[in-house]
Amino acid sequence: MISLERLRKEYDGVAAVDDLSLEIPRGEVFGLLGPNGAGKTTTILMLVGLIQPTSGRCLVDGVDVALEPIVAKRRMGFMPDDVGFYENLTAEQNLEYFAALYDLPRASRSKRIADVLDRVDLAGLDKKVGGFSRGMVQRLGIAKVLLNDPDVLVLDEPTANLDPLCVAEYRKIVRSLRDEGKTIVVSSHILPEVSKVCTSFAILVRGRLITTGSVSDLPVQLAQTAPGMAIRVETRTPLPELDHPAILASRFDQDRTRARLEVTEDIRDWLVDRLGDAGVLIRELAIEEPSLEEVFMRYYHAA
Amino acid sequence: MNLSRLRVIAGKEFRDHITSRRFILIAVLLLLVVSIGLVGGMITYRTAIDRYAGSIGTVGERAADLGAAAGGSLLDIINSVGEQILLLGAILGIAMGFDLVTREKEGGSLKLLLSHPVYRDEVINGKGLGGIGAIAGLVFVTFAIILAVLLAFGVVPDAYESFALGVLAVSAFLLIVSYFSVALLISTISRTGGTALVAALVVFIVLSSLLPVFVDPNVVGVIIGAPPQPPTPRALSPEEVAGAPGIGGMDTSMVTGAGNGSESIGIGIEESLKYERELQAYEEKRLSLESVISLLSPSLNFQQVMRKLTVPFMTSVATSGSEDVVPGEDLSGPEPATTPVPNVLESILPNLVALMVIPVLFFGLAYARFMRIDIR
Ligand SMILES: Nc1ncnc2c1ncn2[C@@H]1O[C@H](COP(=O)(O)OP(=O)(O)O)[C@@H](O)[C@H]1O
Ligand SMILES: [Mg+2]
Repeated sequence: MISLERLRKEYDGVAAVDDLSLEIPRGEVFGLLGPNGAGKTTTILMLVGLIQPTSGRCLVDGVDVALEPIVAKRRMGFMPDDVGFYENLTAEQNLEYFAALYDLPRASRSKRIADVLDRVDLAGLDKKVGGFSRGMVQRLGIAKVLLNDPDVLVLDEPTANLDPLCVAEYRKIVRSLRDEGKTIVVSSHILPEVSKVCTSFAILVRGRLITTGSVSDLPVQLAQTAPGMAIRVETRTPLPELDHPAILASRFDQDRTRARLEVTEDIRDWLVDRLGDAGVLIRELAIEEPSLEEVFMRYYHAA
Repeated sequence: MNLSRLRVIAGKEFRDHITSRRFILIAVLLLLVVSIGLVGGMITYRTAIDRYAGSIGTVGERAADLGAAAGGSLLDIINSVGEQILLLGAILGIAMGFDLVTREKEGGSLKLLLSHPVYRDEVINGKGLGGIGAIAGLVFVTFAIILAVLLAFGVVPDAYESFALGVLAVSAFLLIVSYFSVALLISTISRTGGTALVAALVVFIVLSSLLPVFVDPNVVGVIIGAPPQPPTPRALSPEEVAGAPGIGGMDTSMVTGAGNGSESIGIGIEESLKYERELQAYEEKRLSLESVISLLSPSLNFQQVMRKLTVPFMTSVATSGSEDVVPGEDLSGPEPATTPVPNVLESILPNLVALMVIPVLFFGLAYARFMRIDIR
């Protein structure tokens, strides 16, 4: 549905996005993850046709966004990170303006507006947007995105300024959109956001793609690409010397009945055999995998 | 560019203007100042007419003639209306335009707007057209009120006065549009509404107050140098003295007998002619600089239109006294039939053209800038 091909954007000779290629299939909820300044917004703005790539291209349903912006924009709904509406108008008036720009048939316009407002719980509110809370503006942003019933929704940091209640509401809406089969691109600088609503993800650091995959594979992926795995052993009798290429470092207690081994892979089976051979009885054998959060932090620090 | 989208954007901009507190405030102020000035002027004008008509007991004379006869003219009133529009119109234009783009940038709606299927030129043209529409509406209302007040006082403008009113309306419209276009450009350049406001104020002061200073003869003198000095008298040879009356006459060669009469002191014809040529060249230089500077400023153009429209006429009123109706009172009225409308039109044309070129230029620059604007 969406493909980014060798996308690059330079600012003053420095690449904000560098050689980024991604394929996002139809119906995917795709999380674009990365620390601040990673190039998420830059990528998204190129995707929705608001800035021109220095090189490379974005295709949405086969349409080159830079060459046919109007066609591409009709198929997408975009909510910018700092989404703002016309404060002198009501929610309905704002949407009427955008609906007119989408050239929605006049007859169905007000019905459509009422529907999307109802969906984000802003129906019948006769208040100017200037008096809205941040959460309400964000919800109106989602209503706006749905206005033209696009196949592709692009949301830049949709939960950045929301309180937990609003975040929960937003997730509910995104899940229901996912169930409708929409293709959704969401950016975030925090991991839970992606693991809660997304089906696949990419991690971007300093404009470069670090890793990409399905969210169900996320722990494996992270474990493979980032070190930090360890095995804890506790035995009744002192441990023998342990020698295995996967062991990076080992730390023993004074009586050698406890140890923590930093490993590059899961060698618990080898350990059981080795200790069995040595006649050492095992009290506990546990693997310590880094939490997603920890691995993510490591990427950040590496970058 | 798609016309229906352009209409949608221009329509929204128009509604934004006419419902904005800022626009309404300045518009109401403008209408108040103009109508109060007008009503005040009309009252003096009418009482003067009534007193005059009463004193001479004439019936059936045109009010305008009577008014002029009584020492006032509708053109004076038109002139003062113009003066009131000058400042408030400039402020209105600036206030309408300076944050049109920065506000959308800061409020986060520009990204949103441009992510819709619209071209950038539709947005900037829509903003321009919406503003121009609102200005046209306001000018229309203003002049409808002016006409209504005139008619309410029973004053029917004659052909020339109607012409003057029409020109005033057109140039008031162009004046406001000019400042609006300048402000719109500033808005596309500035990062924030705050810097845009400061920049707009600076430009406003330069255009409305600083440039007029440069038109002051003394200041012009500083720029293009002092005017040529008249030649100083010196001893003239007998030939020069003999030749003087024959060529230049007493106007160009002043010869004075000095002392014993065998020697004459004066200014030679050559120097005299040279001085005249220099003076003329200097005057031309001064005038062209003055008009070039004037053409740059919407305010100056507007002022010049007003002056050319009303002043020559009033001076002719003052100098061309004709039939005395009442002995002892100098009575001369404007005579529409002999008023040189084509001449006036010709002399105000450069200013009117400048008032059209300025907005075209600045809208063009704003357009070019907006097409390239970094929307982040
Ligand atoms: N207009 C700009 N001029 C120069 N550099 C910019 C501009 N916009 C963004 N950048 C740079 O591009 C990089 C990526 O920014 P951005 O895409 O906003 O990151 P993210 O959205 O992931 O936080 C940053 O290093 C930022 O400094
Ligand atoms: Mg961002």
